[in-house]
Amino acid sequence: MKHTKYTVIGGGTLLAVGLSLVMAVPIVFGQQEADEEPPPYEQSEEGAEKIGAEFNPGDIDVEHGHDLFRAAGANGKSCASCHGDNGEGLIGAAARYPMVVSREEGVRNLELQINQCRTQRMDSEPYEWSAQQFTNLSHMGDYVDSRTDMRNMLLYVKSRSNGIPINIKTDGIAHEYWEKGKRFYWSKRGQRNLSCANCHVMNGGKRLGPVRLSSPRGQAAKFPVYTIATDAVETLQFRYQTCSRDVRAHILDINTEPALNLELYHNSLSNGMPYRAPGFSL
Amino acid sequence: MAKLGDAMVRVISPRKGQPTLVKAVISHPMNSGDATDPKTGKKIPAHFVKKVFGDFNGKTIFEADWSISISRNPYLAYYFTPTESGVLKMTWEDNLGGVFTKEANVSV
Repeated sequence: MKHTKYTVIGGGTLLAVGLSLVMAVPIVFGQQEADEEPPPYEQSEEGAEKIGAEFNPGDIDVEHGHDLFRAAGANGKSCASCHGDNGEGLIGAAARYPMVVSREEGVRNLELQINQCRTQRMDSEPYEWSAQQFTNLSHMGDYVDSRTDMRNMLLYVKSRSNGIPINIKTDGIAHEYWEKGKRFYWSKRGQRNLSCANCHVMNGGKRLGPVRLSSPRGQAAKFPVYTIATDAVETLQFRYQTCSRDVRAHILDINTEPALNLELYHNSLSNGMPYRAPGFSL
Repeated sequence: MAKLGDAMVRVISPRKGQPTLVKAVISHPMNSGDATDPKTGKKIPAHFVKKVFGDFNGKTIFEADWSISISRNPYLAYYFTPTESGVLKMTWEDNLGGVFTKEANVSV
């Protein structure tokens, strides 16, 4: 036939184009990435922990916490007077918080404990909560205030328990608060009608925008966490406020009842995971 | 947060004769002088790091000129090749005369 040559070439080209399209589909949709398995901790740390293990700007604040630890309160005592100059007495202490000691008090987390020690045993002013993480524009050079002190102290005390598995008691007197926290964790809230579980349990490991949602197991171990996005060390209670904003719900007051119950339940999900304060996050 | 001038220098896995990564961060406001303080209505005076030096065993291995375009708490990473063990010293000098240094041990 006159057009045999062109038919063969045309047919061959069509075949080649078709084959490459068929092969392109899995490449485009990611099945041929051939990545090795992501490391087991990646899902809970958005892949940023590798960077944080090497270099974490939050480590600077641990030394400030150490200075605060040794600073004397109004009655001359410092944290170091009871707990040792390098916090030796507190190794493993942070792994038991939040705890419930009595029904009058309810859940006691580490921030509340620090303030209790300050008011009852050091006769000093309690630190303010870390309700604001961002430095005021006009005081760029003066980073330090009472809220900063609380964050640094919290970071220091938690860092004494680095490597020690979280071990929060959820039975006995703590059980009813744990149940309340569990109910909160699984309840839908806000305009977006999302519960903590909706995102982190049912979709943990998947991406929300550019960020990977962390799975609940291991989340407690990284707080207080250095966050690149705000260039600051954030505490867990502050993070609850950010999550509340994200679902457009009523913002939980820091260290009040619903947030404390939530912290008890939420941290107990990470029982057995070793602490690694400060964490590193996007 | 950290105080002005707090720095951290880490040398990542140093190996003799191999390019080695150095990471450094300093707490510094890096005010450009253009921003306005919302409380007073006046411009916040310029306060930024002008020069960065990296010395290894006394010899300058890294030098940088910074200006207002570098943002707050600047992070820096660079490579150098250590031929012996020693001390790596980073120095930051700012426009108001502040000098901040931090050292890190390098053992190969």
